[in-house]
Amino acid sequence: MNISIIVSDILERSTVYLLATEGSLIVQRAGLLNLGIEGFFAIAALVAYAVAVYTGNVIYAFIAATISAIAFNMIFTVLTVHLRLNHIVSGLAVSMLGIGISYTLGIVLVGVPLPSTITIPTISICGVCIDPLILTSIIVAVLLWYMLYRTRIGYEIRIVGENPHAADLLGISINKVRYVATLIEGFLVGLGAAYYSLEVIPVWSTGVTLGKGWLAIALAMFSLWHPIYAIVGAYLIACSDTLATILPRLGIPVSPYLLYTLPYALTIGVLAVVSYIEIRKKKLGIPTALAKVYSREEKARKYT
Amino acid sequence: MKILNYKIDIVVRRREKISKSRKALYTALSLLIAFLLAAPITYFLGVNPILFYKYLIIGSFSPYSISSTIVNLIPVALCCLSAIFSFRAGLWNIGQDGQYVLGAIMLLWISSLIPNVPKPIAYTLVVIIGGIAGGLWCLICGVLRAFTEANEAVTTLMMLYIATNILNYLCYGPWRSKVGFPETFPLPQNYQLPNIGPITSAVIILAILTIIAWFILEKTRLGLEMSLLAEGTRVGDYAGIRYRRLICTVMFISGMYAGIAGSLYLSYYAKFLQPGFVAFYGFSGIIAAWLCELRVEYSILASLLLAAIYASSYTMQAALNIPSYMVDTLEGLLLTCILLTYFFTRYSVKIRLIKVDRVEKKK
Repeated sequence: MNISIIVSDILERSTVYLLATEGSLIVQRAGLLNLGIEGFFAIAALVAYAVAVYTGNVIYAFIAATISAIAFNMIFTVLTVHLRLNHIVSGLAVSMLGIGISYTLGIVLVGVPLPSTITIPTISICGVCIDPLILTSIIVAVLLWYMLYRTRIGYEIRIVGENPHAADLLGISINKVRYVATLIEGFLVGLGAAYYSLEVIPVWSTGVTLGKGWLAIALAMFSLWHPIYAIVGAYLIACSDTLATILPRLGIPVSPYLLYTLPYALTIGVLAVVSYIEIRKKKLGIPTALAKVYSREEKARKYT
Repeated sequence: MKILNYKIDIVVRRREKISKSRKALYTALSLLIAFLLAAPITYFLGVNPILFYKYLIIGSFSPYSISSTIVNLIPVALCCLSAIFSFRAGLWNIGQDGQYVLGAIMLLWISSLIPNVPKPIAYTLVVIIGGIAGGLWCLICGVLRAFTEANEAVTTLMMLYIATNILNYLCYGPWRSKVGFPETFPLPQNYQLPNIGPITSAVIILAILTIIAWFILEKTRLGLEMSLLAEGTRVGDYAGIRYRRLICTVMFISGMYAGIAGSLYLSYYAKFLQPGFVAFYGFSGIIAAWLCELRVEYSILASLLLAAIYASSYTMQAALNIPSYMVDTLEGLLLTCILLTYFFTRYSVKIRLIKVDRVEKKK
C-alpha cells in the first residue's frame, strides 16, 4: 500500500466534503436549515458528469454544475424565504426531487466512462497529487472566515441567523442576505459535486452521491459553524472514509459500515453538547434562528 | 419591480378563512400539476408520457396489483401516523426510516432467540417488539431535544443513517446467511403474519392502530397538550404542562408507530433483511402527513396515493424500463406542489399592474 496514494485519496475526498460543508455552513449561519443540499448535490454531480461526457470539457462541466446547483437551490429559497414554508419539509421536498431526477435521468449515463480529455491539471509533490480544487477548498475556507467575521455582509449574515427581527430593525434586508447565502451555498456545493463526480468516483452509477449532502449538514454542525474548524472536520471524515476502504485490504476485521456511522454519531454528540452549552447562555456560534421561518407581519400579529 | 412604465404590485395577505370546497379544489389541482410535471422527465427517458400514466394506474389499482398497493400501504400509513404525531406537537421527527429499520432488526433478533412461540403470542410480539425498538430509537432524540434542546430534525436524520449502516453491517457481516447475497436468515415461521385471501392480515393491525392514533390525538389530554406545545404559546405554562416529559412521550409514540411499520413489513412481506429493506417509506409517510394536513381521518387516503406510486414503480420498471428512482421524483414533485397549496390556502396573492405615472400622481 502506497502512502502517497492514500494521502491523495484523503485530499480528494476531503475537498468534496469541505466545499459542501462550507456551503451548508454559510446558509445555516443565515438561519436557513437547508436539507435540500442532498438533492442539488446529486443534480450538480449528474450535470457535471453529463456535460463532461457530451462536451469533453472540464471547465464547461464545472460551470454547468454550479449553475444547476444554484438554480435548484433557488426552489428551496423561494419556498422558505418568500412563501414562509417550513424549512425541514421544504428541504425534504427539494432533496427528494433532486435525488429522483438525478438518478432517473442518470440511468442513461450508467457505465458510460468519462472521455480521456477530462483531466484536472495536478502538481505532484512527493508523489502526492495536488490539483487546483484542493487548494481552492482551503482558500475558500479562509475567505469565508474573513467574510463572516471581517466584512459587512458576513456580519449581516450572522445577525440574520442570530436574530432576524433585530436585523430587520437595523434595516438589513433579510431576504437579500438569505439569497446571498444560498447563492454562495449553491456555488460551493456545485463545485464540490462536480469534483466528486469527475475526479473521486470512477464512473457514474445509481446512488453514488447518497448521504453526501446530509453529511455536509452534519459536518457544518460538527465544526461549530466555523469555516476554519470545518477544515479539520472534513479531513477527519475523509480519513475515516479512506480508512474504511483500506482496513479490509490490510486484513483488519472492522466493518466499513460501522466506521460510516461514526460521523453521524459524533455529530449527534457534538450537537447535544453545543446546544446544552447554548441554553446555559454561552455563545458557541450556533445560529439561534436556525430553521425558524421569518415573517415580519406575523411577529407583529403575535404581539398585538 | 418595474417593467417599462408599469409597476408590478404583489400583495400577499393572510386569509382568515377558506371554504372546504376551495381547499379541496386547490389540493386536487396541485396533485394534478405534480403528476403532469412528471411527463417531461418520462419523455426525456424516451417513454411516451401517456403510456407512463397508463401504467401508473394499471400498476397500482388493477385487480392484479391492488394487493401490491396494500403491501406498500401499511408501512406508508404507519409512517404517516408517526409523522402526524410528531408534527402535531411541533416536533420534527424525520427519521422514520431509521426507527422502521430498528423495529425490524430487533424483531428478527428476538424472534431468532425464541423461535417456537405459539402464533397468537408471536403476532403480538411482532407489534410490541417493533414498537418498543422504534420508540426507544426515537426517544434518544427526544431526550436530547428535551434536556439539551438539540435540533430533533437533525438528530433523527443522523440516527436514520446510523440505523441503515447498522443494517448494512448485519447483512454483510454477522447475520449473513447466503453466499453471494447480503441477506440474513429468515424470520421464524410462527412470526410470519398470514394472508387473508389476496390481502395481508396486517391490514387489521393498521386499522386498530389508526383508530388508537385518532383517539389519542382527538380525545385525550395528551392530544390537547401536543397542540399547545406546537403553538408555543404561554397557555401551556398556565395549563401546567411538563414540557420535557411531553416531548419524550410524543417522540416515543412517534418512533413506536414507525418501528411497528418496520416489524410488520418484515413479518408479512419481507421475511428476511437485506440492504434494500430501507425503501424510504418514512419520507413517503411525511409527504402523506402533509397531504392529509395532519388529520388522522384522511391519513389512509393520502397514504394510499403514495403506496400506489410505490406499487406502480414495479410495473413501470418491468414494462417501460423506468428506473425505480422515478418514485422519488414523483414524491418530490408531490411534496413541492403540496407545499405550494399549503401556502396558497393560507395566503391570498394578488398581482396588479399599475401604470407608473398613476402611482406618482397619487403621491
